[in-house]
Amino acid sequence: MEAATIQIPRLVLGAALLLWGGICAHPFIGLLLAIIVEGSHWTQVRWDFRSLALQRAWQISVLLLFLTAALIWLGGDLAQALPRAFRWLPVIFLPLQFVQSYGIRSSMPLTAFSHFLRKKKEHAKRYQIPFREIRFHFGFAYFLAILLSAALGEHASHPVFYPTAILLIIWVVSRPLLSMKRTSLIGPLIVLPIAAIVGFNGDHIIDNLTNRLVEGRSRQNRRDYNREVRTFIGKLKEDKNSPEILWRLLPVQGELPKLLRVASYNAYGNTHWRADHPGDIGEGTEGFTELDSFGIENPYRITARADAETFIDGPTASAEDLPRFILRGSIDGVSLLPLPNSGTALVQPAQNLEISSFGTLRIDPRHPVADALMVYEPGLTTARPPWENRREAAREKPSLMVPPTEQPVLQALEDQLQLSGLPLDEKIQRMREYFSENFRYTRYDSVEVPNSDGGRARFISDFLTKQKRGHCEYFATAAVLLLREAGIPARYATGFAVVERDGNNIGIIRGIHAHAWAMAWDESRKTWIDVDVTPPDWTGMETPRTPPWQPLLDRLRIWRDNFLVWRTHPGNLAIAIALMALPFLAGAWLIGRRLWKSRRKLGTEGTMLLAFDRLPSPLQSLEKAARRRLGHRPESTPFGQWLGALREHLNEPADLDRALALHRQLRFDPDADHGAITSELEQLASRLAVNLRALPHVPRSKRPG
Amino acid sequence: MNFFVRRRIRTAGIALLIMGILLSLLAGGQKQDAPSKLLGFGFMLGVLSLAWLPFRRARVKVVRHVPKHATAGEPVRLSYRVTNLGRLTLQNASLIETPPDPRPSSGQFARAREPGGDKRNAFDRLFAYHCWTWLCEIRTLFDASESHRRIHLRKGESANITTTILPRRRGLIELVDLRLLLPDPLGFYQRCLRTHTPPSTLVVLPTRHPLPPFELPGSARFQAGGDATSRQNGPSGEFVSLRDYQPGDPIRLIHWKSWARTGKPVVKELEDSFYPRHGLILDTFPEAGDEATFEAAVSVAASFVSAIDTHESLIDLMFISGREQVVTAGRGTGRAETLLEVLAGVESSAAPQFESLRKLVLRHSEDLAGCLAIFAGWSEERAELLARIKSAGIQIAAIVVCEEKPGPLPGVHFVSRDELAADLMKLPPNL
Repeated sequence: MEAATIQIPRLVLGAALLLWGGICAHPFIGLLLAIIVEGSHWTQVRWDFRSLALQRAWQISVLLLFLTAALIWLGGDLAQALPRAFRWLPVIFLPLQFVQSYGIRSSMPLTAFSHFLRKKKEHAKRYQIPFREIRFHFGFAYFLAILLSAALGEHASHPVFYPTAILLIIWVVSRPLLSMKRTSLIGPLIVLPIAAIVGFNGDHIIDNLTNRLVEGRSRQNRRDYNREVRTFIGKLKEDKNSPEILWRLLPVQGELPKLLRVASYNAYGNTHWRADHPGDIGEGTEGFTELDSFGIENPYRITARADAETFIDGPTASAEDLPRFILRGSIDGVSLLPLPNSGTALVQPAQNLEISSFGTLRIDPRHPVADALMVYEPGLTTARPPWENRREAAREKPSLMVPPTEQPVLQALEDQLQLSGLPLDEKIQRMREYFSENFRYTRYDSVEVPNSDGGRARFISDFLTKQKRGHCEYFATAAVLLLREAGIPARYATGFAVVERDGNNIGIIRGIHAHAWAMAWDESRKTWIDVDVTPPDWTGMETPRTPPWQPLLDRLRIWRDNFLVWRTHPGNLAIAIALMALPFLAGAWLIGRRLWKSRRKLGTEGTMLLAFDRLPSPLQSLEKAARRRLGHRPESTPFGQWLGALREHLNEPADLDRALALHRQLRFDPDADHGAITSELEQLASRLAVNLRALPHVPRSKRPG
Repeated sequence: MNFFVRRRIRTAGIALLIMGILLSLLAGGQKQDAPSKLLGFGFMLGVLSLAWLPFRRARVKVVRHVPKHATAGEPVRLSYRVTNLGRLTLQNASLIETPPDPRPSSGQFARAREPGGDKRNAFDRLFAYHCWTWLCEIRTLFDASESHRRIHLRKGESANITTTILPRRRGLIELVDLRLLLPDPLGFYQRCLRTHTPPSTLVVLPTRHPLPPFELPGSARFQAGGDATSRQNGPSGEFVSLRDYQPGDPIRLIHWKSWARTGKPVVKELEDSFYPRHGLILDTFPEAGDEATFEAAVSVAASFVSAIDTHESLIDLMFISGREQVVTAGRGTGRAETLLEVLAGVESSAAPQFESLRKLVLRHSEDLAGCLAIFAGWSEERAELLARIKSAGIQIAAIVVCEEKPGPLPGVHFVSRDELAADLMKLPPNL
């Protein structure tokens, strides 16, 4: 005997689903789900779902969860695939809630959800060991899942969400609360409002707590850390710890570039680098301007837009003899695109493509995977030449600025290396030799950036004179400042080193290939050149971080990217949708068919009637026509008895009597020739149907019942 | 630890914890505020509910009323008289019984062999977690549930409260730990206060199953009933006539009125009643680790004890439990309940002593009309015991409880341990 379980209040799930639909911008899906879930209160159709059906429902839900995650993953959101799939929990868990709402049992056993629990139960049954079965009403779990999904929804920050969610929660707990004595209600009336008010500011409290506990400093504006505007030494850690493939460089013509720059910066202070643009920049633009059509001013930029989707330089920049490669990799929303310093043209469908004065490229992608044809010409550059800072009276060039706290050491080193007067190439060569001979690369973050203000102000000096070891950001910053000290305008660049190739000579860029280097302005050639003084053994020291299962992940990543690129080709999207939808529709059809066959009807007192299990009889086709004359068949009245009342309406009732006799024989005589009876009944039924149609119409109000 | 936590965190509290963990995992590191708001709300609910608990205090006097018997596997209702001795009104509280600590001693754990444990994987066998949980489960005497209605008592007020416990196995239950549960306002957590209630004892009888009409072996052979042998029953038997007193006649048979009338002692002559006397032999030697079969055998024995009309017959329950034991019930000697109470406490023997059991039965063979043996399993030794008792001229039938039924044997009825109730109903009328 199943113990009585607490039920979730009627309509609360429907209301929660409507909220979810509104918050997640799927109002019609939310409405449809609400109708399905709450519809059980207005229909008598039920199913006798047993343990196996429950297991199947759970398996379908799990399958749907992973399919949703896979689709999101294919859609480009790799890291957030599972959390974003959770936004669809109301749809994913619908099979389970359907079993709960339309099943005849008021609770579900926990064993349906766990293979191990089922095994344990079987073991216990086999060896007569006591087993404690936990049962619960799935409606509560479904309600929590809906709230969770809505909280992750697109419009969850809307002011309506939080109060509505709290009201729904109060609605759910209202039944036990209302059953309490009045004096016992004081507690809930105190606790709930306080929790609601604190929860309203929960995001700020949790953010502050997290920042204080984890990061050891108060929260800063997230926009400050946009890579196109600002970075700090240690920032690359986010990328450096990832062995995932971020980009692939498919060679088309010529050699692949050695470095791909994502962003560059010109102003340094206290371990921070920032992009100091010429003149004022528009609010929200971060110094970016949309790439324009042909005729861009030479020689500092890419490109021009040939048509609505394709960004391409003029004929020179994209001349057929120039080296080129395809840059393929995921893009998560508006992002920076890595490109060689000497990039000249780019072919990539996009919503928008912008470039900054530093030559940093920002893309608003049309597709989740970029498949950009990149053309480059050694000797050119995408960045503008160094400029004066017009906002300051001194009008100094930011690309020549050296922090006063670092200057003495840099000056001494510059003197030691005798860089003054040397041509640029020799300066760079001498610096490379110096760093290579006197400094040691250490794995990322093994030498920490100092915490104190004083330590940060003299960070490079300490690196050059005391530590003499560190990772690429240390070398890059030191090189930039040393170049500046030697009178060469220089910038700090972050991006990737192209150091790994697969068997097909495709360049592989992983997170661990994130790199920083210096860029020096070559006045004679009017171009920026890459200066990488990090000891060349750095890649060997970072590579061993790759875990053993990485090849499998790489393969998955490559398949996914290739599939998504294939999908963007004209006509392929329809094929992909059809391939994915067909199994889904077939499964839905199978389930629907089985449900239709196994449906039952709930009696007036909640008992199950086997109303739909009767033997099919051709006479049943008359039910609709007979109803127009006799009204609805009263419950518990046999079909034959009810249909017999037509005798007084028919001119020749003999057909009806014969049909009813055959109907009874068909249903109750096991020795009867069912084929012959069915055939005769069909003829009689069609004759009776004609006779019924010929009778005068009876208004609904005058029908019995 | 598990028990401690389960007593203090209610279902809603578990849901709150799960939701909190999920929200933390999903919302962590995201730029969305809504999960943090819900997390903050849930967190505050949890904190405030916890903070509320120290203020939930109570001082009560509880008197427990326990029925004389209960049956394993059948819920039994206990009633309490609760009086609020505190200065404040006691609200929204409930009572729950606590079963004795089921954790085995290190020795018991070391000796325990979990049924089917040898089929588990090496990791499970090494760490023996399943063996531990199994031991705890089988050693748990009963499952308790909270009182049926909440306690609301003003200062000095009293009320009758009931709770239900479900005894898991036969035996004696000592009720020594009654707890008062004081939940927080929203029912996430609760205090679990021990009440100073005097201990009570509940005898849990073995599970009994319905039996079809049956006739025990040797029912036709009547024995002198208990009436003549019982001193406590007074004059017994059917009155036949009066006769002169003869030396040795019991004083209680003297017919005083006739003596007064005739002047010489006259005694009543009674025809003693004869009742069939049956031996119920219980096999207490299950295979090592097969306690379930032994329990089933006890349950079968209890079913027969309940079904045999002890007003019209006598039953000698014979078994070996440490020593040879014979307990008789029937007209004039004791009620069937006595036998059930004995069966409630019967323990299995570590080593099989079929020879002792045979000698015990044969010692009483003169008095017995027939025997019914209940075996916990089937083996050569049991077959031999049966044959030797038969060869001694005792009519005997056997009911063998086993996992898998072997082929049919004359006078032996196999019943499946897992389908006990159904198989017992299929027993033939003449056993």
